[in-house]
Amino acid sequence: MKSNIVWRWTAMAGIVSTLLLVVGFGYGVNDILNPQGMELSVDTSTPKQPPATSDFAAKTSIQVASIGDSLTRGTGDPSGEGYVRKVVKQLSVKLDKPVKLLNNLGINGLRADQLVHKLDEQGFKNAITEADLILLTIGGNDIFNSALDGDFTSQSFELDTLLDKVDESSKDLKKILLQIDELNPNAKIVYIGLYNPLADIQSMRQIGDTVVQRWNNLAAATINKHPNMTLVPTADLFQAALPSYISSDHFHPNALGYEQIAYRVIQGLAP
Amino acid sequence: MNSILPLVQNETIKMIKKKRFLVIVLILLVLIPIFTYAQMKVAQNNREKFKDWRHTLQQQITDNENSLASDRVPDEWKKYRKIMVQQWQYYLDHDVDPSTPNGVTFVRSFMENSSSLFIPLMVMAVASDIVSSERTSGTIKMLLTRPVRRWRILLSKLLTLTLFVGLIILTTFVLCYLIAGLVFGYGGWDQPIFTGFQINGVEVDNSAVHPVPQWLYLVMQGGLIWFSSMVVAILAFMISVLVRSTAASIVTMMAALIAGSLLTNMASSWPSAKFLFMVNLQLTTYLAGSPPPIEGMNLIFSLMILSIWALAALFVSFRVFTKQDILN
Amino acid sequence: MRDREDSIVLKVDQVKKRIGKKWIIHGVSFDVRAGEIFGFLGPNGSGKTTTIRMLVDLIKPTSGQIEVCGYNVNKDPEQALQHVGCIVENPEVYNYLTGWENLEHFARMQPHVDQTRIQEVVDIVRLDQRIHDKVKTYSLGMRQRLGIAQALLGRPKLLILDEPTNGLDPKGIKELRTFIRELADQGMALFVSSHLLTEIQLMCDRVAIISHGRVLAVGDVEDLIEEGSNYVVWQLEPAHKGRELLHAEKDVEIVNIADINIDEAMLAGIDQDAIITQMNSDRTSDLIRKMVASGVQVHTVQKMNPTLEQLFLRMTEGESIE
Repeated sequence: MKSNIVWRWTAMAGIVSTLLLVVGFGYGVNDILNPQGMELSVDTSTPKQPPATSDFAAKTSIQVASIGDSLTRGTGDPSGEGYVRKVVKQLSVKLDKPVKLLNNLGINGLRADQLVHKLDEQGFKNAITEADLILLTIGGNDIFNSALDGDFTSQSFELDTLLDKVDESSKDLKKILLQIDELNPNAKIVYIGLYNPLADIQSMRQIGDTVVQRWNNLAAATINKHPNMTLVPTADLFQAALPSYISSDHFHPNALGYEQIAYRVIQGLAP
Repeated sequence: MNSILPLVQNETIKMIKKKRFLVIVLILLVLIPIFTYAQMKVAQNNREKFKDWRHTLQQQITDNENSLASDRVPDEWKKYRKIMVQQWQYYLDHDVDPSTPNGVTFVRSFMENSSSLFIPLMVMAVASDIVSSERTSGTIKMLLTRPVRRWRILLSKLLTLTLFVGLIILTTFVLCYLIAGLVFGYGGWDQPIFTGFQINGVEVDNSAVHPVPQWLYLVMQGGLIWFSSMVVAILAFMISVLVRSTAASIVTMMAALIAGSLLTNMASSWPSAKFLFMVNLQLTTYLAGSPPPIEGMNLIFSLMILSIWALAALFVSFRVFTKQDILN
Repeated sequence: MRDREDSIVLKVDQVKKRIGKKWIIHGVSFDVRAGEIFGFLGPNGSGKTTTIRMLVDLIKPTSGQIEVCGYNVNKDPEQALQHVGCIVENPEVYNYLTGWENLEHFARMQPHVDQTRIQEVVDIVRLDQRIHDKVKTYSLGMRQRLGIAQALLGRPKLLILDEPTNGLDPKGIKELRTFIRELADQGMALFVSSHLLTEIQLMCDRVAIISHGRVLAVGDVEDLIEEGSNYVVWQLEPAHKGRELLHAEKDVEIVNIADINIDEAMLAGIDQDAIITQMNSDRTSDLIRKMVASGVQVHTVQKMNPTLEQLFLRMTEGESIE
């Protein structure tokens, strides 16, 4: 009988699959309850090679990695592009070759001391090692971390305190730059300098300017020693026309502001 | 009758002839290609945007870290993402791709995602009318006036249901592999998958992490899905005994399951929800090392809760079915 | 009366059933013997269906005993139900299976039923032409026959049929009657329920009459009918002379057509000037002779069966019927 055969096969298949699943259940429960942890050897059969040369002209395509804080992320730009994507686009036009963004590793609120640790992560290393161009913003959060709250009265906004912070965090910046350089000596490293976001607040303007200047000077001290590093100044840009370049949170640039930063980066890279 | 086998044969033949299983296969044949296509698009997009999986994964990590800073993201999501970020980081650190696009990986993620709602729904489609349909059609009068004790009849139905739960899971698995393999290739059986992540609050303890080949992971995952499917099957079975109408029985179970999947997403504000069976169905989270829906839940706890529900349902089913008067 | 083995197949003893707080069955007792057709007569809602369901273990009695071939149906259903074939209400079978698959299904549920036996019962109910078609294509009559085939599978000693003529055409009813008689002649005990007296009268040897959860009477059908069957309708020419003649007889009582309780269908066939009498029908031929001798033409003489209601009224005399 036909139905007899069908029933036999169905029952057999049902029994076999049930047994298999019961065994799997046993294995699964055992594996979860008694996990046998083991030291894992990292597969390094294909170690990442940094690019052979730093000369953009000699390459068929440029790979970009961007690292840093909310500015790298593009916070404040309604289109979400930020300066990073604008740089990638414009550079591609300018050099007339494909420019590809490997990773945008900007993290909102990231401080220099945190970034130092991030650079130990494999994902950051991967991106940095493979990139021809590395864009970096960092430091704003170290210094102005409570400015977003509008709290300018506290101890943290007295000049001396701020300057101490600048000296402290500049050491982290130096570490970061050197570490990137060590991972990938052939990449061009572009550090975007700080601007004073407090310029439109009368009481804070002076203090802000002083602090930003000090920071940028310290950054330049490191960067100037390395020919593959570039400091892109932005302080003067925002000084001149802060209201038209800053977004509604009075901290991050707006689309126009990012446009200006990107323009300067391109200028610095391929004059 | 001494043997239960002819009774199981009866129930199996009825199940086949009712074409319920065929409907399930058809649903799978429609749904799996859709998901395969969606997955293919994702893979394509990643290939276009990223140089290799490492960059994709790193971007995923960074994007999630960014959302952690946002105040608009609910705390439990943050917790979840924090844990996932740590796991991805682990994969990245060990240079292992957690989601190589291949047939087997697709099966694994499809099964993972369908274990809380989709597979239980298919199980329900089979279980919900196994008793109530006999009442609706009146055939229960024929069934119960034969010289067979009632508990044997109910047991034969339960055994048949068990067979079909196994079949449903295996069929989903096989169809998934065959269809997805067309697009992603049929490889990936040996690819290592990490398991053994221990979650303490929002920190992931990696000390017990170990790689298992993907095929073994699939077998374990299938087993865990099987267990929760059996619990769903038994509960649907009980409803089927208690409720006369098949429609009512399906609706009752479906409401419970959907409520469960909603609760799973927002249960952290109501810790007692962890005693509900629906919240405990996704046993695979413990294998994958994803955070449980409610803090304090672990595999033993979930297995206990599910077992208690299932045993209670079995008790009620057999008690009611053997005692009850068939009035119409 | 036909030959009757004295072996009791079904024994129902003081069976009572309470559902919730309400007593549905107040105490039912009767025996059914091998080789007889036992009618179970009662109007809808009298407890007939509940009683039948208790006979086949679908409903557990609150108290009392039901035994089939000496086995208690509730305590030992595996033994007891082996000897019972039944159709409770409609013959419900699986629509999505063929007739044959349905029979195989039920065959697997009882011992000693093989393919040969299935073929046998298919032949008995003459369903072999369509047996491999899906049941959903069957007519009601065919379903009925499939139901009977199913009931006969296990070579039962007792066959229970609940309202078996429901939905059948007159030809089907006649066939069924013959068929049931054949089964009884082979020694099977048949338990047939109905709410129609005529049907019971045509089919059964003995009958139990149930009303409001109580058995009012158990006995030979003939006797019960005889007790109530005492209307004779005369159509005479000239009518007034006939009436006088009838009036003169001591044991004949002329009744008014409005006072009696006869099937309306039957009343419709009676002429305006017909005379209805209450009398022993044995006297009919004697009276006809007298009529003819007196020059009265006798057009028709008709014995009228009492309706079920009438029997009830008679039996429950003195009791109030709620």
